[in-house]
Amino acid sequence: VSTAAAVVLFVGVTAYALFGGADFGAGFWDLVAGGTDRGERPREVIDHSIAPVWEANHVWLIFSFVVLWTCFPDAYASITLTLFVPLTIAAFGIVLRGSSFAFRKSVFRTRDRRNFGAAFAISSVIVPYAFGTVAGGIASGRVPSGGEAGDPWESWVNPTSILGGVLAVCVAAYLAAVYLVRDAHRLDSDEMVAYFRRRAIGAGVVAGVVALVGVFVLDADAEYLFDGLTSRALPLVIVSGLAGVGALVLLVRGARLGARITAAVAVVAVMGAWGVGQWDYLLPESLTVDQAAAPDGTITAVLVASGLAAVFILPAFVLLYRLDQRGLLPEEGA
Amino acid sequence: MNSPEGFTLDRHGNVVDVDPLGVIFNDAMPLMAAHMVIAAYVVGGFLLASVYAVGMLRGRRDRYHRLGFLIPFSVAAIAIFVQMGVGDSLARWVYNNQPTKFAAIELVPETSSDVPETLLGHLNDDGTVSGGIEIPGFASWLSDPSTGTATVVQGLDEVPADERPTTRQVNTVHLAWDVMIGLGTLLCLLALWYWWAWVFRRDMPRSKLFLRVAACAGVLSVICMEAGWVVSEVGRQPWIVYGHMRVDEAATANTGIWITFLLVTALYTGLGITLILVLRGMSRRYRAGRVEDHDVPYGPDEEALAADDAEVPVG
Repeated sequence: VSTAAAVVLFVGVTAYALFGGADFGAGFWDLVAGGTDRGERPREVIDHSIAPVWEANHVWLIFSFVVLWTCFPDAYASITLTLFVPLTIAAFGIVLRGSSFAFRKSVFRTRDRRNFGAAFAISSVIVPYAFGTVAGGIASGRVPSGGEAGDPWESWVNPTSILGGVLAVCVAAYLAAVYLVRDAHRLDSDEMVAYFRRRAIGAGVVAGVVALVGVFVLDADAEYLFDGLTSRALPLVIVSGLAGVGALVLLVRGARLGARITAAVAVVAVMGAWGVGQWDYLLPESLTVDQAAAPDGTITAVLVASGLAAVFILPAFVLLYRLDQRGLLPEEGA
Repeated sequence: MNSPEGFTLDRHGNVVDVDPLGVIFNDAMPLMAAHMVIAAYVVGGFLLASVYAVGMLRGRRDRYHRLGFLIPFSVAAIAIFVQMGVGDSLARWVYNNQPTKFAAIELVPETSSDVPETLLGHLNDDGTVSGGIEIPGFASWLSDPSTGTATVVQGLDEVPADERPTTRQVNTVHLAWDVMIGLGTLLCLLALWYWWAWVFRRDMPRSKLFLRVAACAGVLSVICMEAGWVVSEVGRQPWIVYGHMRVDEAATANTGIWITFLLVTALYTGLGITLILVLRGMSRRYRAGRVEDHDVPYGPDEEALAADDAEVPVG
């Protein structure tokens, strides 16, 4: 059963990367959209795109954390004790991001809007970076087992963590830009379609380059993961690379739907490659999934609860995303 | 955590077998959950109603404000009676299952019968109780009315000092208990006043005094609930998992917790102040009539605004 729990955990983490990532990425484009006048149009598209579903995506983060601490309490203790600095930064960022986004809509003076907007946008970049460093710290085996604290700084300020953070920001920006192209289409704004298409291609190329550089970083800094990625996880790595290139080609040719799906496939494959690459360790080379697992009764309860959640909550989420994509959702509070 | 059940420990104290349903549906769960859920209705009802009570005190006596007051206040005024009954049962559960916590609540240093109910007052380090008003034998009688004042209440001295709350914690628990019971009784009297007026006059009480008290009831019910949490959580010290694990065994060994704590406090203080400023800004714009309806998230709809304007001179 511990394998099933690990798969459920990874599904949660991947869903957060995919949906939460797009959310954070939209904040990134808000940040770099320029001054009040120049950035007005893009910010409108961004606002229009994330307002109806904002914060809903954090469900995946909460889900992942709950599965982690119920099914793998030892790993949870080690991860939170060691990586509390980036995790705290991420938590602060999430709180600031959400409240700034809400406050920005309720104030009318340009100065106030700009301040809240800046807080929203900056935390949108800091949060994925912090989570990326957490992933890097775990993947490179810097979290000790046994519910003990590793180094509070070196565990997330190291080559693999920096790679993880930068990659997370790039991937988030890439996903968001690809989604925003579609949203701009819906708003019938050719100018904005071109605007976000340029940025999607740019972010995609940068993410690809970071991933390529990352191969060498992992070779030097996270050997176990590197070995996994070049052996049992190799098919997923190849799928990810092909999907990434395919998405870029589709973007350049101006396809409307395909780019979103292939971009998502590329990200899911990368996340899957990470999981398969460090299998069967939860904390590479110190704690296996099996060793970290809670008693069977607990895991069974979590699996049953996850099954119920899939039956009751997933349809609602699918409906939410579909309504959002068709532009049938009202703006928050209107 | 007040009544940990549904798991087996091995010799080293590791959890080896878990029965999740047993953990959730533990002995304390039905009463504690009921007490909390009903508290939510009490607090939610009084809190919502208090906003409209303030509005009515300022002369806004239209249908919108009347309904805004009547619906939540009626819910809370029913729930508060249920809460008194559930709370009484829960206190008796604590008497039977967590006698040390009960001793802290009732300020009982030594095991005895005919224990007085002490209102306020405090415990000294030498085990004496000073100050406060004593109602002779009442704590014993409340613990088990069938045996009356002969009911024996276990004192704090029955367990070693390191397995019960400290003197300061006992005094905190006792004060919180007095606050909870006192405010709960006050809210109950307010509810009685309300229903009395409905029964005999077919309308809510008209006096300004009633509205003034009702306007305070929201905040008072929040204080009442928080005091209840203090009783429950300080009362079980030093245990985080009652009888199994102490708070200091569970706490993180990481240093720098104070920094995190201060940062979190600063963040939420900042957010709280910002929230109040933003809300005041929205309220000012609304009063000045400078915004269209759709500009205000969750604002009252046009109809209510029209009704409001018709009956209230703006100002």
